[in-house]
Amino acid sequence: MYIYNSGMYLKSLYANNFRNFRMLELELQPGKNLILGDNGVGKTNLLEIVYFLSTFGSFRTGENVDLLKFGEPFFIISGVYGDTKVKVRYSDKKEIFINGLKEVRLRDSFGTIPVVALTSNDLEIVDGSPSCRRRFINMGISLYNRTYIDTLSWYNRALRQRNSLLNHAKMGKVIKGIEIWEEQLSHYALPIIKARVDYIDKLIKHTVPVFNTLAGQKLELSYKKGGNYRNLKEQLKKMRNKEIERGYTLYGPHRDEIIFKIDGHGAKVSASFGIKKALTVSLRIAQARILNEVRKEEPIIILDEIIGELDRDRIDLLSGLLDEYEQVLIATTREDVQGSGDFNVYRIEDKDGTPVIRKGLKEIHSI
Amino acid sequence: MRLTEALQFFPGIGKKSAERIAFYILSNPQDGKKIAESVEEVLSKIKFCNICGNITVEDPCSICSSHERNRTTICVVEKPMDVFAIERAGIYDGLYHVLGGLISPLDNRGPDEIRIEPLILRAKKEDLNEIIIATNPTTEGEATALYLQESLKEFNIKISRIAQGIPVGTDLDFADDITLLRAMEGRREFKD
Repeated sequence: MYIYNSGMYLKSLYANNFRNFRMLELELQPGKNLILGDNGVGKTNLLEIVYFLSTFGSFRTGENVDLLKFGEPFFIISGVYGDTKVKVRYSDKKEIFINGLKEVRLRDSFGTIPVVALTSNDLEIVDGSPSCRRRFINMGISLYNRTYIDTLSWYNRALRQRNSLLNHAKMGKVIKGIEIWEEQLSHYALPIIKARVDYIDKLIKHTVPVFNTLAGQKLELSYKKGGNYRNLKEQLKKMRNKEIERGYTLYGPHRDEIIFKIDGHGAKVSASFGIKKALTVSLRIAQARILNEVRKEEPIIILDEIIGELDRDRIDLLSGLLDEYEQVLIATTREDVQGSGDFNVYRIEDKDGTPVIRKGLKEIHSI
Repeated sequence: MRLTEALQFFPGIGKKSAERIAFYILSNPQDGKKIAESVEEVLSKIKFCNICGNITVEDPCSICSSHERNRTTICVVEKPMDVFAIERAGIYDGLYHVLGGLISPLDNRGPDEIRIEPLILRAKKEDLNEIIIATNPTTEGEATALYLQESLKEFNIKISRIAQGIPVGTDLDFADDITLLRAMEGRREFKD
């Protein structure tokens, strides 16, 4: 059994006007917490608060307005992680407060509460377009390397500038100074590629054994580079005419791809639904292990329904894998998950349109 | 109300501030008139200096026509505000060149749409030792700096880029990661 000694877990949560919560005050325990309840009562909303406090975004929606309780002009959420209080206030725009001090730039406090989320959207990492896999990698790196977020946004800015020049040329305009954008692109690409090579090495190291435990099959994971990274500037220069025809830049980290093969076959096309689930779970567990390796902090793991979609044996296996984390929050409708380990059980019910949370027989929240 | 809408064009003024200013003008008509007159005056008298491109009443401007200043150095900036910032600090006694924008294809602004050609002409004609490129450290600022560096290479003039790093008087642990990175990259050796 894991010994909880670092105190780096989410001790309490507060929410006001967030989704279906008018007012929520909740004390949380370290270890594995199970949030049981029917569909639509607010289990996912609870996990969404935790995720939002880490990344200042939702795993369900890109629109912050969707998170407002119906008809309300603002929401406030906060959480205490170790000795650090993170608070987000939203009305028109987001404001972040760390221990009461307002942060000027969101990205400087990104991941202050380290969270790794396993949600049903994760399937897009396997099934979705290459951009979904790049997003997964970008998120993983951003949680411990904040300069990466800046470099990526500069790279994307330079990319849009060069694409706009390529488009001008496509329309027959005379363009000038495209070299400077190629110089900028290859300059910013370098640290991005370096971080990705490093991250994917770590990802292979951690994902392969976890996947083998969960699925009993052999996973190969590889990084397919989106350009000639020994000399990207030269490649962009050489391919300029072809790119003018297309109107956009064809080479660079924005074209990177991650390939998953299971027992020698491409996962996207050949793997079953269950195997794809096992793969996304393995990737997230690996992401958490990398975070722990680099930041020396146990991330909080949240699982939205994932566990309920697995079969009995895999639930036991996953539950065992989750023992190594300081705090795990699991939302599910399945009562029988309780039998797979030691859990603090919370029940969430709907009472005339408002969510009520109970721990044991005690009602701890009702407004 | 048209006034509040017009006020919202100003940088840093939102709907609420615009309303407050508009009501202030209504209740203090004298102040309102003063503002209207000074705006009129500025618009009719201010022009751009033909040499450096800064805003001025006299053409050429007082900096370009001064013989007290070091006429062998030009500091290249994006906009007139940047000249004011450097002048206010009183740390530089050379000449300026205002580009009037940065290269940004997304905004349909290429090298020919900003004052790069006039700078090249100055490099040819004037007797210069150094050109300091002081554009902002943004993607567009860096790209413009690169373009200038390329365009000015052929002249026998020292081209330099202003340093970037930790603001004076702040603690290292308050600096964001990217500023620290820039400061590390731009470190220099102690010289006796």
